Amino acid sequence: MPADREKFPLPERLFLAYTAASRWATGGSIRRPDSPGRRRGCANPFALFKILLFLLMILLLPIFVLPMMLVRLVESGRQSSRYGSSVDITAGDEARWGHGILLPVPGDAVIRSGGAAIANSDPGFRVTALTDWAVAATALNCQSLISGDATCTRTFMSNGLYRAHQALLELRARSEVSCAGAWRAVGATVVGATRSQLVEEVRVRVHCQGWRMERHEPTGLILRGGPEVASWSEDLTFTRSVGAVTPASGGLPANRCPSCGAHLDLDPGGACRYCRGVVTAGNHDWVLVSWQREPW
Amino acid sequence: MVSGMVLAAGAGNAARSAVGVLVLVIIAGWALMFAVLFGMLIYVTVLRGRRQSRKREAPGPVVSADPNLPAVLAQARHADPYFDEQLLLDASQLICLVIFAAMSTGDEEAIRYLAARSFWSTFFGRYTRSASRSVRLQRLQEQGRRAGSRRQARLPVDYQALAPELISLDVRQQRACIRVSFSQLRAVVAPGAQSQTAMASATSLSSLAVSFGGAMSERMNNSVPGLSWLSWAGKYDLVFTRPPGTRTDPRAAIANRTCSSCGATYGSELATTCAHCRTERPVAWDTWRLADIAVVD
Repeated sequence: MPADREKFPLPERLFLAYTAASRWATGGSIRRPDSPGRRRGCANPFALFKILLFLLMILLLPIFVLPMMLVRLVESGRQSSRYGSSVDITAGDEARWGHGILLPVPGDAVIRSGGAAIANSDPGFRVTALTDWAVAATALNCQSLISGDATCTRTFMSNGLYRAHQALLELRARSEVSCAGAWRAVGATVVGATRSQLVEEVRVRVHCQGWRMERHEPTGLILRGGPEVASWSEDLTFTRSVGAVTPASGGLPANRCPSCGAHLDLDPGGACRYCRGVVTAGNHDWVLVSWQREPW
Repeated sequence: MVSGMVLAAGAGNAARSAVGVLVLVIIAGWALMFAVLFGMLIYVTVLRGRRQSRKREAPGPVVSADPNLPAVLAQARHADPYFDEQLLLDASQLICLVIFAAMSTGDEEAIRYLAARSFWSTFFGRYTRSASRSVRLQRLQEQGRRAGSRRQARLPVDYQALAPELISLDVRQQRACIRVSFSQLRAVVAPGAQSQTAMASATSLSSLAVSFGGAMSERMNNSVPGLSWLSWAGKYDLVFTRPPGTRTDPRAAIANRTCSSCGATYGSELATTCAHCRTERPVAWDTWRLADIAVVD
């Protein structure tokens, strides 16, 4: 329901009425006459009335604000305050430069043994297929951020990540946050390979080069980045169910349906248009489940 | 004449008493408001500081995935042939983003559609509802201003998450627990944005006092809107439930993409109804709903 049609509880409506009245009282300038020929400032009885009303509103502030505060306090309860304190919120530069820190890279031996465990159960598994795919995916990720449309990422993102990515792009568009830039992957290395009881996971670190910039359109404020060329890394994590093996056709990394082998053509739900199998769930083949960008 | 003077004196006394009562109410109101406001801020700040120092000194034990999961999953598939844990992992990814949306834009419609009714009585449910209502209130207040003079905005900029992980599944109770780890980034555009955001993350009374003072002075000075950041990161366990005895409908995931009534494709991932015919959109993970969220230390 749109906020302007929502029926807020009485204490909050009281507060809204208060803010609307204060805004009206502070609207316009007392230095300028309302219309030509009218007196300025306190000599204008209407402006004087507005000033007095505003002073009265300040004096009466607790009467309008307290009910809302107390009702919320009772509603949320003591336990919620405890919970509120346990939510990890950071602010300022710490928030910006702490968001998206990439996971540390384990030792070579750990990565090799993880890769070997995957290859043992799937002789067709090739790490290079995933690193090449990650490079291609980076170009499409860039395209989706700039265009604000996630459709081009449908062929490699898992259903969950695709929906979350599409929803994020929608949120940004609603808030008029845009992204401009041009970048490409200049290299990719495997920085993690594990096999658990349910899934196999490979993390690829892609090294990117180019420029990117996020802007808040109404204010023209540059939020992050700029037109200067820079280098950064992104982690792309691919998973598939234990038991899935590389299809003879090469599967999703080779742009083929892992189920029927046809040229990849998916509907928005991630189902092959030829065989109707949902191939982006991670049950048949590798899919991208996590995409992390270094702080910028 | 005497009675007139007595009446006038009585009216004067009554007026004085009324003004006296009003002044008393106003003074008591201000005192109570400051007591509630600072009491809450101090309580949350002290708790947050204590929690962080406790976490540094002795991090709590983390429950890892149930070692019997493959057997439990086989049992679940036996009872419900179309059961797919992947749907729950997908659900967890979208739900975290939807909570981010609610807290940034105030739109909690999508969470209502994905969460069980009981979710709203949990800590996290109350927290989300309160935060999103505040955003809606603020948006309403800002609506009265001209576009150019809008001075406050909280912008959802980025959301990143690690791969979700199935931690446990209870087939009898139809209850699944998924672990998610995410980081959300919001830009705050407002006069005194730095101090405002510092208040939200203060962990000591002194830092709270400094940031509160800074935010107030910049607001009063009517200074130019500045830019600051708020980030919320953490690891959480999402609990999903569905009614006992329910079986997965394999058509649910497909029905979620196009309207079953008019055939139109849903244009938005956050849409809960069809934009053309207003029919309610089916949930892709069928009858599974978010029931609770717990912090993983």
